[in-house]
Amino acid sequence: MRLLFLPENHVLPLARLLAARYRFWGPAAKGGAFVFEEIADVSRLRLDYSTTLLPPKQAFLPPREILARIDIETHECRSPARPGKPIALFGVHPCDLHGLAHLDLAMGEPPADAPYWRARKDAFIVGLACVQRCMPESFCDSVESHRAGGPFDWMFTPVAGGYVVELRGEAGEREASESGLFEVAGESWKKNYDETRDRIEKTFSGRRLNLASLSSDLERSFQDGWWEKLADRCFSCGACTAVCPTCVCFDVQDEIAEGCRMAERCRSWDSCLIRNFAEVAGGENFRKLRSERLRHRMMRQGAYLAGRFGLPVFCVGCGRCPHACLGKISPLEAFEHSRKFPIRRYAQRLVEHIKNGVTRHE
Amino acid sequence: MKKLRIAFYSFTSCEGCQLSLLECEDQILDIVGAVEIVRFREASSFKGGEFDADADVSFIEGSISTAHDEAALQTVRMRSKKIVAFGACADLGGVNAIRNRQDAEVVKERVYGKYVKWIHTSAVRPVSAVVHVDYALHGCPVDKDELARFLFGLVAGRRWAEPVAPVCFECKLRQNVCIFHKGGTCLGPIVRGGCRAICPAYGSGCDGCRGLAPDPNLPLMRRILRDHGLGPDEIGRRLDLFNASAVPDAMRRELTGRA
Repeated sequence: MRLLFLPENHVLPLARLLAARYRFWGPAAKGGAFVFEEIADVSRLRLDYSTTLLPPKQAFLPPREILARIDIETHECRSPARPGKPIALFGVHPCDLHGLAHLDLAMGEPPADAPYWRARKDAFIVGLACVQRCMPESFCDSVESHRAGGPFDWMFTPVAGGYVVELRGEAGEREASESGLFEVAGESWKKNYDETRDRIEKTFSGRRLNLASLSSDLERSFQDGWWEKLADRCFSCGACTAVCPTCVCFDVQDEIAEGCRMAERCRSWDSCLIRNFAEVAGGENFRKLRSERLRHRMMRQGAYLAGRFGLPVFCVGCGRCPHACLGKISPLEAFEHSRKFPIRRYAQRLVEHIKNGVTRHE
Repeated sequence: MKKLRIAFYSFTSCEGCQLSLLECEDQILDIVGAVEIVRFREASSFKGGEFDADADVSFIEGSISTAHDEAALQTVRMRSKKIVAFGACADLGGVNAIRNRQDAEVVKERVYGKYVKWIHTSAVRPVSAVVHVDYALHGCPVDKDELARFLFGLVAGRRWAEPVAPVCFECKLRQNVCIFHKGGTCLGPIVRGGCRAICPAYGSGCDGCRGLAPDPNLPLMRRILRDHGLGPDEIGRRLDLFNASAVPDAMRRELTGRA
């Protein structure tokens, strides 16, 4: 691990250098909140942001994108070219770095998602440590994503007078030396850095989940009537999945364009909360009930995807979904509740279901 | 490709949805290249009969509020292969249906004054209450890009995918600050999307012009609106703006908390 120091007044020149070589994405103010967006004028960069409305996921997986354009007459098919320059994502908080790591796993599973990796492959990612909690709903400490992690090239940690920057990998080293804006981190910076890191640990020492048993707890609570009660507070509107840094589900629709000369294959973010998500040919719907859809999302976050990729949990605790949810449903609440569902009642339910000839899910 | 014959007809409405087609400015040449417009009073100089065209698809704008409307609509239905309820008035009854919740004679008196005896109107109904409807394009007014997609899809023979996700979902994708977080109120969580949350994007809460989304959680909406200061009467008025006759009484009770 190599540490360098970046003085505060070198941040904008550095951003300008990156913006010349990359499509520069960073946090900027919008309508009383913050958003990640492509920034042309780097002075709009707001490294003091709390959290953004949508996670930086959209840089690599846009809410709507055209995968291919097909000429209806000639049947010639072409994927639209991405703009030439790779993306630099500047100022990503730890929760979102972990989110990107999870996303990489999901999109990297064979067959790897080509459009995602076209945008993601050469991306330059700059993390930014959180020194204070962004909002009351966040629970990054409960799922241990408040520390630096995930796919960063530089990790910025604020200290007095600037940032201590951890470099990682070849691109991180190269960009740092070519910029000529970094200073060698002296002893005093290192001391400062350690203090900041201690402070971060103290700030984010909230409740911890039992991550070791989370997925089995959740799966056991599958039959719990509590999900129906929780669904009384759910609109099934999909706001939670829309703002989630780890939700990967999309829909693909063919649309006719340009006076029926072209067909466009479009993909857009979908949501397992939306009523027709699990609807199949013939009108059958595998998750007709709101409670089934809500439970499915929590299972995805706490058990299914975590199990698939060998992680303790797939949720990064960014707090965007409980913040966006008008019913104030938080995954933390579901994760914590799952531990209370007693094994005895689980066994009872299972026996009832076997007697009734109903097999368990999966 | 054989050109699709389409017609636009207008009943009780402001005729703003028809304008949406004319507002497809950069796509209008593609559209008229793909379809033949056989009746479109608002946009043509055609002087012949109004309801005497045969069409593949007829777009019906407006609600049905007179015996004349009803008879004309029956004629259009007979001469059209497919009928589209075009915009909130045709789809839901819309703003016009507010008067269904008031005394019809009093309303007529208030609007027409001394000419009231000349006026013969019935309760306001959506198109689907009079004839069979094949498709609905929602909104007040309809979304012009949705209209263009719908038209191109029809010509190509594609099945139309009705939007299902509520406004709330699209509002998040558009990175709007939640209207509730700004201290306002919004029907976005229970209203059918497809509008790309245009009202919240410009700072105004959703009023439900596209009708209720499938399976809306009405008791939860009532609780949240109540917590933000809306009582049963205010919720009722909010719903009535576009959905005075479009929501079954039981659901209306669930949302307003009052019979």
